[in-house]
Amino acid sequence: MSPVIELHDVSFRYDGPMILEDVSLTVEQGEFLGVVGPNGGGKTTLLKLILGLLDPVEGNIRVMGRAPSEARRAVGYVPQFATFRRDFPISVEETVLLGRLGLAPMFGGYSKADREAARCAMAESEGLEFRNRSLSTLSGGELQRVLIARALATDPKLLLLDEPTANIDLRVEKDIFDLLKQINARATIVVVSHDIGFISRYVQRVACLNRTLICHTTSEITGEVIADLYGRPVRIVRHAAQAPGGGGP
Amino acid sequence: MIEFLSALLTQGFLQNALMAALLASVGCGIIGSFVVVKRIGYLAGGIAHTILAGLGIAYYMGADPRTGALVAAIVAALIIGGVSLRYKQHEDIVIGALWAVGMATGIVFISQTPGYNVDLMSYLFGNILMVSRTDLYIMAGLDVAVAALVALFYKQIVAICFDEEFARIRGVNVGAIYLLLLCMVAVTVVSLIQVVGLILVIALFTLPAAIAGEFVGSVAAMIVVACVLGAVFGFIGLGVSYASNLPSGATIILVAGLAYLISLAIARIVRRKILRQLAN
Repeated sequence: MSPVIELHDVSFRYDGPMILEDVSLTVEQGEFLGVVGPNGGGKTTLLKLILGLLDPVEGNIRVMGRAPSEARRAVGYVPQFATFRRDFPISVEETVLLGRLGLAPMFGGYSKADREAARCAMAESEGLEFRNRSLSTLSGGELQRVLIARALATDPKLLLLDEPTANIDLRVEKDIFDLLKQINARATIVVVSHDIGFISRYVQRVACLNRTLICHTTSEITGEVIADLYGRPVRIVRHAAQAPGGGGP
Repeated sequence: MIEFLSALLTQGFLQNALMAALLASVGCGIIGSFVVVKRIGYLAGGIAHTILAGLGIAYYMGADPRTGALVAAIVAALIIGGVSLRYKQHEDIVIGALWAVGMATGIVFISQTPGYNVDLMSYLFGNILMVSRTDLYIMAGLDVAVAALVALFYKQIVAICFDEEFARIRGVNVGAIYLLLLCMVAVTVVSLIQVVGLILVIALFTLPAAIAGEFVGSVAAMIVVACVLGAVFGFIGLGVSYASNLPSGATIILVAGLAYLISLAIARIVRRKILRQLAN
């Protein structure tokens, strides 16, 4: 079986300097990969390349053995908050149903199967109780659950998450990563985060991205590795297993 | 107002005018809701003003001005849509240029038309009392077409208005749906020229939908409320303009504008009440 994601010597830039340079990465079926790195290090760009929203300047990318733009219907994507307006008049249920586009009938409304899939996705991400609320009334943690439900409604083989816990407190962050762990039983997951200390307890492998990419298994993550990545020494705060209140690096 | 109602029973031109106002509110409610949530009021304005070029050229060539308006509107929608999809950063300059050049072209052609007798004001500000039976049939047909298209592609249109990137990932043809939306804007504007004119049409697009948006939780509900509000504004505006002998298109817009201000105040009070309830 071919790997879920294959990048060979991928480079990318918009108009200015290189954002990614000679990035090679293979993600196997069932993996839970964390991508960390400083702001502007190319994390979101990497996800957009895998989704086929951007094309590499050099190198090539295969997703499930196909071109990214062909494979992306089987990919669930959880963007950062900023891609839409919070005050848009739309309910939680309707937002989650958007994940069924491409599977739902082309014309008219959603089918019964679509609504059922959306309901299951909301139940799994514990968002069912606020399905009739409008998006603008949700807290950061609730909204994140809705976005995960929207990605799950597509029945993805690969789930890509961009900073899923950037704006929420540590207790909810733990809940969300527990949920991802559970989803990982049936889907490959790539999660972008700035919080290397936290995610290393969940993921099997960490890709450190700052224009170039280096992979580590989580046991190899040391202060030196992090300092190399961020270009300066970083204070590491160890997270106690259950106690909220610790800070990120 | 009683005078207006009794006149309505006897005067054919008033019945036509009211019918036109009601038909206009349907197109405005549907398309205006998308214009508001997608925040493309400026694009819609660009399309509306470019229509004058089509009107002027058609007049000069002795063709039906409605056809000229329709062609110009669709061309403007495709140009603006294409630029907005491909060169987002130049969008406002292109719209501004098209807006002014379109109007200038229209005025030049109208001025050169032999036996100059076009009432420019009625294109710019509407003349609802001159609406003919044919106009009504055309408006009704366009309303039906727009409603049918929106019913067919509602999911996709909402998806690209809400989160374009996600829609693209889910396999929605974002470019095609966006151009479809802009073409529907164009067609609706053309059908409204007679009612409020191409300058005032933007207010009729945005105000009822914006008021609705303060109080509802979905685009579908927004469309229904905006249609009803548009009809009410049309009715009141027409009544006031008849009773006070004021220009009808402008009066309808003033009624809508006043209602918008009031709705903002009400929405603020409602929100404060909800916050207070949440705090308790």
